[in-house]
Amino acid sequence: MPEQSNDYRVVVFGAAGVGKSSLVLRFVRGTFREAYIPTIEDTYRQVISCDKSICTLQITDTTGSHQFPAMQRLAISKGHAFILVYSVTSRQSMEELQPIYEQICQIKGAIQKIPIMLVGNKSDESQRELDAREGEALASKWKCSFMETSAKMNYNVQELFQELLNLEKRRTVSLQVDGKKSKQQKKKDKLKGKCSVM
Amino acid sequence: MKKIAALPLTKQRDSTCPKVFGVSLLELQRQGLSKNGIPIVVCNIVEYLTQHGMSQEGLFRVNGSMKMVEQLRLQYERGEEVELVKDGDVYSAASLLKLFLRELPDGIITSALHPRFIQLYQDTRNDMQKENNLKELLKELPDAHYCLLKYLCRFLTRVAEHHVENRMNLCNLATVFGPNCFQ
Repeated sequence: MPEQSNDYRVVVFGAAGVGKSSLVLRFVRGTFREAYIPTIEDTYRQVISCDKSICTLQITDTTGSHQFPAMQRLAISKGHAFILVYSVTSRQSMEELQPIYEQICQIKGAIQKIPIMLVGNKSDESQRELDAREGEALASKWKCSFMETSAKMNYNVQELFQELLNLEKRRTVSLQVDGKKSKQQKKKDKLKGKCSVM
Repeated sequence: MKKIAALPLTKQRDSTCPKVFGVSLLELQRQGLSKNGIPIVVCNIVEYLTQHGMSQEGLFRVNGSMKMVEQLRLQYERGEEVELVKDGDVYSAASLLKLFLRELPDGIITSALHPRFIQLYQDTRNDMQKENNLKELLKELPDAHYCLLKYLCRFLTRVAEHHVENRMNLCNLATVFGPNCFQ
């Protein structure tokens, strides 16, 4: 199957219950729910700009509950950028990221070119097991960026995705889409499509 | 004398073929590793979780430590006496049960029946009818599979009764177990 070069694919990994879905839903829909609902795998799409034209940001929210190595490998090989989430209330959730990081290194090779954000979610919680310095230390070891977030309080969520896209050096990706321009672009694309059909 | 002679052979088997995980339910019965048709490893875990795990938040959702799960798996493979109270914890035991299901050859719901399950859900509108058809279809599972599924469903119903504490209602349990049952 041909690669859809117009998609920019972000994959969110992390242990069960750290708030992967909450971060994604806060970003995509601006909402937060207290409900406790496990994820199998969900993909969300949003229009962004890429190299001055519009493209689709595809966010894959993975499961934290069971390891299916084949599914994980597939998500990594298809992904362009990665968000690795732990909860600041659980040291174990940070430890669970290690094998995922190693798998990314193994599949992607030149890790320096791959945008990766290490994220300590639930920063609003008072019962912490990890402070920000521990996240920073791990990020510098992994040569990736780090941020603390709270999907619940809407703290640093937009910033997280923007920063992740800023890390992409192979092309210019941005969350900002100029409405007018994109419409024009859409028309153009449509016309182009028609031409090629004819 | 017989015992001594048999020892090297069992040892050899230990290292070459798995004895508990990745082995068919019939093979487990043949090896005497089942009790009333249920694999002993499953009984152990269910009994342990019934006593210690029912009110733990995210039971079957939160993962156990990978190291501990692997250790427990090896202990069972070696045929050792495993005391989950001493050697394990609630989340690792829960992860071990899911691992057992994932490793089951052909899955607990055998792959030949998958299309029929999907069709049943697509074709049947009426809930009563669906339930009846589902019961009929489940009877087509091999006996050992049917027996284990029934045992697990009974246990998971009890887990869901504690959903106020463990936050795992039937829907959440289905989400977490589904991919382990349909492979």
